[in-house]
Amino acid sequence: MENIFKFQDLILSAPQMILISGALLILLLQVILPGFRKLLAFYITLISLFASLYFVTFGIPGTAFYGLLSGNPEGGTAFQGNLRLNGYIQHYSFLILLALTIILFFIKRVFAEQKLELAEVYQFLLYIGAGSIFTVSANDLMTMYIGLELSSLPFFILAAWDRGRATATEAAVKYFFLSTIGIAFMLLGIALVYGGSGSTMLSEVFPVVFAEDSFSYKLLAAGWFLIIGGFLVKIAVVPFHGWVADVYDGAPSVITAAMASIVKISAVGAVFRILQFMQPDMHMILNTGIIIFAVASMVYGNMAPLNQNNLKRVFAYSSIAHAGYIITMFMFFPESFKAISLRTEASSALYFYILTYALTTILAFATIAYLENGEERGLTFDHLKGLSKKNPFAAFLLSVSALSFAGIPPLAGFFGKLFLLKVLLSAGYYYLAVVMIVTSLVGVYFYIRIVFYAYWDFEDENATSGMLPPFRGIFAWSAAIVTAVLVLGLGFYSESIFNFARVASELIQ
Amino acid sequence: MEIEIIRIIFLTVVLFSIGILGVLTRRNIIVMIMSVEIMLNSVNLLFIAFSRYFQDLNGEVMVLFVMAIAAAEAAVGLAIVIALHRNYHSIDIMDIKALKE
Repeated sequence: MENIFKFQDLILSAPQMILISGALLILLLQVILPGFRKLLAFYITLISLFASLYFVTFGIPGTAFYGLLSGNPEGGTAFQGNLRLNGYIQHYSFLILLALTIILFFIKRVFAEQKLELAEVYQFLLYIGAGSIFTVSANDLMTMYIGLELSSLPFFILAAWDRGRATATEAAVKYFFLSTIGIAFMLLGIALVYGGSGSTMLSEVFPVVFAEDSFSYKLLAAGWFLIIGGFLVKIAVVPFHGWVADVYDGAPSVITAAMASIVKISAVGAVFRILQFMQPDMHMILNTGIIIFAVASMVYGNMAPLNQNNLKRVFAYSSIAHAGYIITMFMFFPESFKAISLRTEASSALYFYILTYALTTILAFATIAYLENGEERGLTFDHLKGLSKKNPFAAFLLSVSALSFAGIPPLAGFFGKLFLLKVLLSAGYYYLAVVMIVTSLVGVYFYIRIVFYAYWDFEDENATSGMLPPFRGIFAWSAAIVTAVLVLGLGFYSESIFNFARVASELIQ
Repeated sequence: MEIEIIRIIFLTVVLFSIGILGVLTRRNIIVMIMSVEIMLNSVNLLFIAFSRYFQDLNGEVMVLFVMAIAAAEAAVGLAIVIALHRNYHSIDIMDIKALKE
């Protein structure tokens, strides 16, 4: 029997393997070291994340594992074609690891302050990272499913981490049911794709050619739509959005930051990749659905928070609106416009948008996590009164994230929207571009309201004093500053990041 | 005796719908978790049917993975239910509405 396990495979999946070994090391040390401390778990996590980030960025010299900066988007496959490695996937892996590292710094401080810090938190973060990268890099629907479960199961636990608080457990149970039902639908889709094509491997499903009205074609079409639907539950666009506000509100705020960023990064990366493997005529049906979902999400996500007083809910609804902007890019695939360049533009616009969105979301929810500090229910606008005097740094961070969400020019969020609009306009979707502009103008109202409450002089500003602690902790400080600088400064480098992502987007399959 | 594949697809869809209906209509969270398990197991049935139809082992391997993950999911779900019961003293989904206020 030939040797089916090659050392090459481990090298090609180095980032995931490092994260998994870090998690297993923490698990092992907890058993054999009696006085195992949380700080050691934190540093193991930090080292694993930095090592993965290093390999993703620079590659491993002398092997087939190429990094972001060493070029070669061609890559290769590992584990008998189960995992794919190319420039596109490296970009998304980098983004997942970056978001996870920033969140790790915030979690360290916030959970230590709320007396929730246990070594297991860090272990779960590593599983989430590995699962998300597996989801994006899977070349087989089976691997994708397992990666998705590996990244969602820890989130159920982390959402209920503050288990003495009723709202946290409620959020966890809601997230559990919505997520498992979404994944069950996706699994049914995988079964139907398998039934329609006889294989679960993406690169084997794609070349199969069918007669339009054959039975296997119908199975395959139903299967693809169910899979995309399952991912849309994760991305939280409008018909599947019911859980978002409650879950984001109830879960601990730092965990919400992770949920709103990492889950969406990996789901968006995976969907855009899967769409490239769908048979072209199915795209025509799918595009109609995507336009409806996108418009509904934009309208709902910008209208619902207008009379909302809870800050976390405002950001939760705005994440629905941003999901609407994001999925407009799912309409572009190789055959649609006879020009592969538009697909490439869409891919890199999507990458830049999800980059700015993830950083801004983390900044917003992490700042809220600091401000609420164990309050039973989240912050409201009234709590923000006089924030600029009591805690100028937090007021600044909150304003930066709100303005970036609103799309105010020098900030990163503006350039993200600009790229999306450019792609939509050059493809001729004028009405969609108009809807996008109008709805985001409506949205500016509640983002500006956050800045207004944080900086305006109110008469009764001491009504809630004593609740807001100053920003503490060296790790959290540095993470907050780095994120804020990225949100402020990415816009100036938007063109080069866009062009850099474009090189990788040539080859997505 | 071979059974036609379309009948198994039909059976799967029926079982899957029973699962969805169970999640939507039942009020006890543990029964809802059991309904999710019915959904996953109906998909397992479909995988085995296709696997036999194509004479291909991939589908059966998938079933093993799904069973393992469903077990992990049930463990996590029941743990969350225990935490929930400590806070609300109930596992009726109608009583759990602190976030709606």
